[in-house]
Amino acid sequence: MPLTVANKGERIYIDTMVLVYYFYTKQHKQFSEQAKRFLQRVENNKFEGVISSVTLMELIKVLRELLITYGPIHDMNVIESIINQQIKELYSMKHICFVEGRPPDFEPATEVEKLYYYTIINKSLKLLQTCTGKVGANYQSGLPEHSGLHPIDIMHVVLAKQLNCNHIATFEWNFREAQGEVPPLILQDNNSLW
Amino acid sequence: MSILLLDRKEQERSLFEYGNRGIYERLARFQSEQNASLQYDSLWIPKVKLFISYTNFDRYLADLFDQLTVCTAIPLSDSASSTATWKAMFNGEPLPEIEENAVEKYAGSLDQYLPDNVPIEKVIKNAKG
Repeated sequence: MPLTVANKGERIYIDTMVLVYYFYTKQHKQFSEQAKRFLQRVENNKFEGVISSVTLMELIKVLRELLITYGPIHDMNVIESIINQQIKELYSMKHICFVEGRPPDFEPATEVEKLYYYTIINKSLKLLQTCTGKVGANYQSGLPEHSGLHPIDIMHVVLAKQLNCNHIATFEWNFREAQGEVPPLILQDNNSLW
Repeated sequence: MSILLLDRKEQERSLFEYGNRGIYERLARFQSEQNASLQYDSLWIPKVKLFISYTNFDRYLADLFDQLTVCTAIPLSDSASSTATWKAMFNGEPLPEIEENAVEKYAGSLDQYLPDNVPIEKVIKNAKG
């Protein structure tokens, strides 16, 4: 396996899984520790962290699923206030850029505006045709199932590329299929140096 | 106007293939041959962007671009974009203050609301649809 090296100063797109493992540490402590360590390196200005609107949307949905399905609270207003608190905590961290991925996210530059003024949807559609995934097996039933990047993961890749990110920080191995677009920095991978 | 982009990895690779001086010479030759307007500054500072094909540099450029522009890295406007995403969610509320050691402070802040060993992968899979 080739090494993936994230160098100081690089811009790294932060996948939703990193944030979920950071906020919830009672399942996979090693992942949670790695997520925290990675975010601390962003906070300490080793990397420029990027959180997109797509990541925020996905995070909100995952937190709703987590809290409603497994938590004791079933009042939607309370659940939303808990989620909002998590979002606010992210915003209080140093050196994280929150971006949508459109021209207002960039400093004024004519060339950049020309280059970036398009939607990511068709680019994502095109990449989805390339990243077909494979036939895997359901981890519970053993029945065949599709294993590969989800459409929203594809959008993460396209956004990360559009935002000039050097890597996508993630725990999701399937991002390797799109490594020609943006190399994933798989935090639990021993071949990832960061 | 075409934009030529080279991320750091590509830049390092091009340096490996052509050498620093080699790239300057090739750009100059391309500029001369194509009568193109070549603009650059601080070409070799980190994160400078310049697009270069690895395999057939001159032909690729000639086919794709009628003008070269070398531009610096595209900075993300943190305040503008953060404010925009914030307003989409919390319109009217002020942005939180940046805190020292926030990552340490808020790690595991969801734990108090959830039991042990919630299958996160399954939840993420459901959330993606």
